[in-house]
Amino acid sequence: MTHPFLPDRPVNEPLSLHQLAQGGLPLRAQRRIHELGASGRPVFTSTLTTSETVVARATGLSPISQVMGSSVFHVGFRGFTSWTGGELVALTHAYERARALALSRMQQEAQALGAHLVIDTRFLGKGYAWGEDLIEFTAIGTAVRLDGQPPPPMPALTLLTADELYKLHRAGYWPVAIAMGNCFFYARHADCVSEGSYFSGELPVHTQASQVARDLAVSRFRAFAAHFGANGVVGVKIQRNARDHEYESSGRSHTAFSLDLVMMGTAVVRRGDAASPPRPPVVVDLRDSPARFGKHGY
Amino acid sequence: MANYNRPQIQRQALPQHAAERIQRMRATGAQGQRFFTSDLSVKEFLLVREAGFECAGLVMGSSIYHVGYQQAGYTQNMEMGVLTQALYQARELAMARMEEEAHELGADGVIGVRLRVNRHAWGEQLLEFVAIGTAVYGRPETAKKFQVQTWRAPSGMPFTSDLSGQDFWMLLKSGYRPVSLVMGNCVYHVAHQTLGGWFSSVGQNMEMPNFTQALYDARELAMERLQYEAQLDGAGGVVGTEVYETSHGWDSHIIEFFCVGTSVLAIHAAEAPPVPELVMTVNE
Repeated sequence: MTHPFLPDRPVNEPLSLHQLAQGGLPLRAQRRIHELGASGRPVFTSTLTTSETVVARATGLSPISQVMGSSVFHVGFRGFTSWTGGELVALTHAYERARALALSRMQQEAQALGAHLVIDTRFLGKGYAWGEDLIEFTAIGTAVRLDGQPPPPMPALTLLTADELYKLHRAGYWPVAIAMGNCFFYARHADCVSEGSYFSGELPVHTQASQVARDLAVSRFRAFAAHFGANGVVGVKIQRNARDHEYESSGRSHTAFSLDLVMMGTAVVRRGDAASPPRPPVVVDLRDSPARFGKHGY
Repeated sequence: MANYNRPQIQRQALPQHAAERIQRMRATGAQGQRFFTSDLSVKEFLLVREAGFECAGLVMGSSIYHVGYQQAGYTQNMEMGVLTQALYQARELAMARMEEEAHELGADGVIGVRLRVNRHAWGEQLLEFVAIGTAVYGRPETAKKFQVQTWRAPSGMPFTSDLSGQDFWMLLKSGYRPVSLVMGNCVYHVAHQTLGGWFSSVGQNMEMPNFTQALYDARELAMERLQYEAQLDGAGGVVGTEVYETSHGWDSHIIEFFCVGTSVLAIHAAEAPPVPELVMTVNE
């Protein structure tokens, strides 16, 4: 079925930019959300697959709309060599802040829709070739409503799919927020002595750096979850990048070690009315192995 | 399989080889059974039949499009309207041709549609858009069971969807039917930073509202267009939306945001959706 092309309609650009700079939504985003609710026959959009839609509907969740939040952030970072070592606070803060801004905007879109939850949140985080010091974080998810419940003041963000939410609900828990913790760490002289040695041995600087970075990220992660009064965090994913850097100083070559850690998960609270989950029967699954991304081969 | 009249809309004539292939596939075998081709897996095939449908054949549409040139201001964030429309129209053309093949086969719709963009070494400025899927038709008793007049889209052409066989089965089970593959795109030029802008941000942690707005707007425009298509279809909603970002070999400041999903419509005579149960799968 062929469709006519919808051209862009101009908005008040300075106002849009101003609202964005305050941490708000650009006007085009506000317009899309508004028109979705204002139309006589609202169409829902969602990132959920069909089976997730079925699970959502059967458990009293109605998808309202795909929601999105994004932030392009300038990282005030001057290269590794000026650092004496320890945590790279500027980097840690930049990534934390950009992620928080993107999530907050997604939450605002969901709030404008009167949603209870955002499920199926995915992150696209990347740098672009056109901006070397710029990072972008984009969060995309689906805003859902709990049938027959008044909208909450602020929807809860989750990384859960509809069936994970259902399982969690059956087990007596409810999600409250996406918990995060991160750390960028740098060690200026990293075990140069042991290079070229024939003996096996522990690399104390590497070990120490890994340990400290992990402790910092985990403590932030725990504090985040505690802030929401969570009993626990489920589906925690950890991204860890570690790298050795070779550099010259006073005519000698040195090795430095850098690593960054990000932890993310869905903070959950235990509900009072929880019953013990039933024992599942055994079945053969007819699904093909999951290929959720890139169906169209990009 | 129903014999459909030609719908009164703008149509794409099939190339000769395609028309011949379709003609051969329409012919019935000695025992009255029809020959079909499909790109469904065995499990998908099983579930499509379980849903009360049969495979009609593999269908395809393609369009090789010369994408025009558009000048963008060096320090300007703007939509590249010419490129957006070129890419949009090329995809619509490829899909219309695929629908035409499905129509000629007498199918009710196409499932598992994949939209691809190819670049070839022999044409720098050319993009090839391909849509491939498996045409299916409902057995007569299926339409009766759901009290559906036709499975086709409101335009009279076969429905299209990027749902897998499993998703198609599940969708019908849950009381919805696919209407059409809906999409929205936006090609956007991201401004180069001015020298003054660069100096003011050196060494600082700060959000860049200009860039944030540019990328935000581009994605919202693509999503708005997807929403608009679904509304035009008279659909109830869109499932399985995916968002892609590609540069198609242009300057790195030019990005296409592309959103695609399947618009669906509620079936009134459908049973209540199945209540999910916790199970343990024994698959590897």
